[in-house]
Amino acid sequence: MNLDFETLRLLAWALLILSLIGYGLCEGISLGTMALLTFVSRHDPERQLLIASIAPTSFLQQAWLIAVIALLFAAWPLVYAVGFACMQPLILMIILAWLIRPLALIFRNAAEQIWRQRFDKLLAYSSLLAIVSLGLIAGNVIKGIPFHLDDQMHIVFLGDFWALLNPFALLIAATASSLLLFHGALFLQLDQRASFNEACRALALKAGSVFILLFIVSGLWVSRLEGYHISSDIITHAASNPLLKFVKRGEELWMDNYQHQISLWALPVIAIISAGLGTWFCYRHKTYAAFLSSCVSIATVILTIALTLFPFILPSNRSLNTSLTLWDSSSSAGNLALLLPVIGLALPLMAFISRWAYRMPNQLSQQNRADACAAADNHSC
Amino acid sequence: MLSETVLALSQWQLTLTNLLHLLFVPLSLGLSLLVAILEIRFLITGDRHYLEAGRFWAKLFSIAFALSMISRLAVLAQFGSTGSYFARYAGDSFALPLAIEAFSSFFLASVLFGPFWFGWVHLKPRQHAMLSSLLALSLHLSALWLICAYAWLDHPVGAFFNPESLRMELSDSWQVLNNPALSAYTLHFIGLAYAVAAGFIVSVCAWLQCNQADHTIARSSLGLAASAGGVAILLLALHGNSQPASLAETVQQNALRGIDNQTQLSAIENHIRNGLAAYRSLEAWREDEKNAPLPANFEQQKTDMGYALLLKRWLPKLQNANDQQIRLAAQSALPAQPQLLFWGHQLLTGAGLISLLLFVLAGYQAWRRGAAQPGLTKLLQLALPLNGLLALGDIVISRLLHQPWLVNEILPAFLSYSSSSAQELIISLSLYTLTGAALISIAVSVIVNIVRSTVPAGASQ
Repeated sequence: MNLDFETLRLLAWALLILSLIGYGLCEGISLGTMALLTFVSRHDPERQLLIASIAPTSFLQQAWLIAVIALLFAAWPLVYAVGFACMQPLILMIILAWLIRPLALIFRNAAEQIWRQRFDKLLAYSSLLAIVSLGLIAGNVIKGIPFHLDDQMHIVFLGDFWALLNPFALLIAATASSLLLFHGALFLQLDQRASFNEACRALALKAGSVFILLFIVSGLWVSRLEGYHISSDIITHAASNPLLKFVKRGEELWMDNYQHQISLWALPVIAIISAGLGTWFCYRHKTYAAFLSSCVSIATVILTIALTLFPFILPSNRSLNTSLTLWDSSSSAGNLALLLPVIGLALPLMAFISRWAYRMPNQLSQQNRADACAAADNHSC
Repeated sequence: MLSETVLALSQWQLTLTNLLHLLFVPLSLGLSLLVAILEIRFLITGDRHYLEAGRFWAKLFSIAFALSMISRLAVLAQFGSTGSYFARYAGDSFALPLAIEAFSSFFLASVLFGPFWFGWVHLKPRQHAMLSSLLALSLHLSALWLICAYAWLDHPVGAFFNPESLRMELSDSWQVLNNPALSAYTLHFIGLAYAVAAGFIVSVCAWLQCNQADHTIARSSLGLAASAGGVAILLLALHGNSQPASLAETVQQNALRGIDNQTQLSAIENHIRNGLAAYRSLEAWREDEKNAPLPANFEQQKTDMGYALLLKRWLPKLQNANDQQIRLAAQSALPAQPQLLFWGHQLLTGAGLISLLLFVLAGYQAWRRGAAQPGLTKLLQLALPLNGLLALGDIVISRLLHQPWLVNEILPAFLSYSSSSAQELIISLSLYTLTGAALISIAVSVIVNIVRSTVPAGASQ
């Protein structure tokens, strides 16, 4: 199968988006539930159950993150290099959340009550920090990061940490947080018999409504935001060199794609509708439908961001011409020709396996949880 | 150009995260295999002791697996954060095996781990044995892909320098996957990994036998570990050195054998001049807005561009390099401490021999079937520290040996790092060190607790 470079690049971009969606869905569950730990339940046995519900699949979620990073590295090395080099503190926070988790989880089981609460707080806050970092990364990608590629393609970061904490990125972070917390809370409710269901439900309703509001506000802001547009000829099959183009920036340019292709509006609309449906289903105690709706919502939010930015992947707001686009930051055709079939085959399998794995804990660890329950009943809180 | 502090800190950060990762991968490899073998033995013989031993080692395996996963995440992030120029320059070829692995065997291993860990009680023994075997198989496949990636750093085949994108790009992806150096590399890595894992198992068994002479777990596992360890050390000794395919490899082999490398200097200088010519053609071509094609000998000269890059340590713009600077750069292409490398290599060989002896003794202990001899068991507890030091020494020596290159003859290490500030690096380095140290100490204490718990309290020799 000999595809031309342009098609390979488009496919690589599509696979990246799909992997990000898979990652968002899984990570939303893991981080969302961890972050809710302290807010949803005050009793230790409840928290045991909470942790037990996601423990079997925590390696799976980590594997998704590793897969996404590896895909970025292999298929989009420039994006990987620039993104990770410039947004080091944010990436660090996500990694730290993953490093702290086993620490806190192992210690909490062995520690006394007062220490357990502290570890639970540590778990919750590190997960919350990771969610906020993910949102900040998304927001900065839309707005543009202050980086520059010199003529030898050395990456120079022209801002500092506080530049990454600008108001727009904070708004997107808040939106992402509410969405992922919504997702996590809905997942927790899938286990019908847990005693924290009411608390989860209340939280889910709040998070869902907050998300819809924030998403609309973000959308309005993005429509006024300065977007980017390639003003030179776009060559889609040349070797990846971001230095060869001219980029202009102007107000409302992110809406360009929507003007050319009206059907793109469907995506943000579906995101809002599915979030609304999720909230409605949650209100009516239809937990499975609510969870599915939030999955659709996450997927369409990621698609919205990707397609609004198209063909940009990582714009630079200081050195406009060195922005990274779909056509000049991918790896070579040889690499993609081998990589894409493998990933294209693997992704559906991974999605299927993840779906199956989330069902397994309900069957396999019923016994474990019953044991934990019995043990919890014997301990005082 | 980056300051020396930033260079040193970046190198430390990359080395530290890599070290952490390379410590736990061998343990999870070896332990997964042991668990699978023990479960299969239980299926065949029906002896429940094998099952109990399997469960015991599975607990230790899960800790090693968790830590190897977490450190994997840190390593992957580090390549981008600290080594971003390398990621851009060589990511096309280096990251290909990593990505294939992440989406196939690594994901499979993570998925299998859930049912493996939580299904001890509820799954039938045959099903669980199948799970363990699959888990061991996918971990080994993962390791093979990792080896593929790291072997490319030493032996960058199948890639060429693309003047349009200013980086190395794949010309032939199959060459990357069928790297001629792969067999030697695989033997070396697998040998080292199994030596460390076997050392760990032997030490734990010996400790158990110290406290309870006929401990069943030790009895079922010691023989396996001893034979695996012995084979591993033999693999390490026998893989030998393939014919050096490049000047850099010749230099590195000479350093290990104690042969003086100064005679290679003139050859290195020639490479540098060749590379400089290529570099100048490239720059002229780029300034000329690419109207004229590149000179005909550019294709041949650009293979030496890596050598020209050595000069960048002193000259950001390579245009006006004089003879003295070229000589300096050539000197820098030789490993900095040949004496240390030679004696280090001898020391490691000696350590390997002692380790082999320990494994033979462990095998003898296992074969004897009588009560364990106290003196011998105390000696065998040294297996883990010895093999751990062997692995550590090997990693350190090979890092020093490959100076100044990160990718042999293609990219010097000092050019690979991101332009972070020293302050940022210190913060992230401290955070990584703190969490890494905390994780390791927790892992060690949990392991010690698990091992202690299998010995009845108060039983001691």
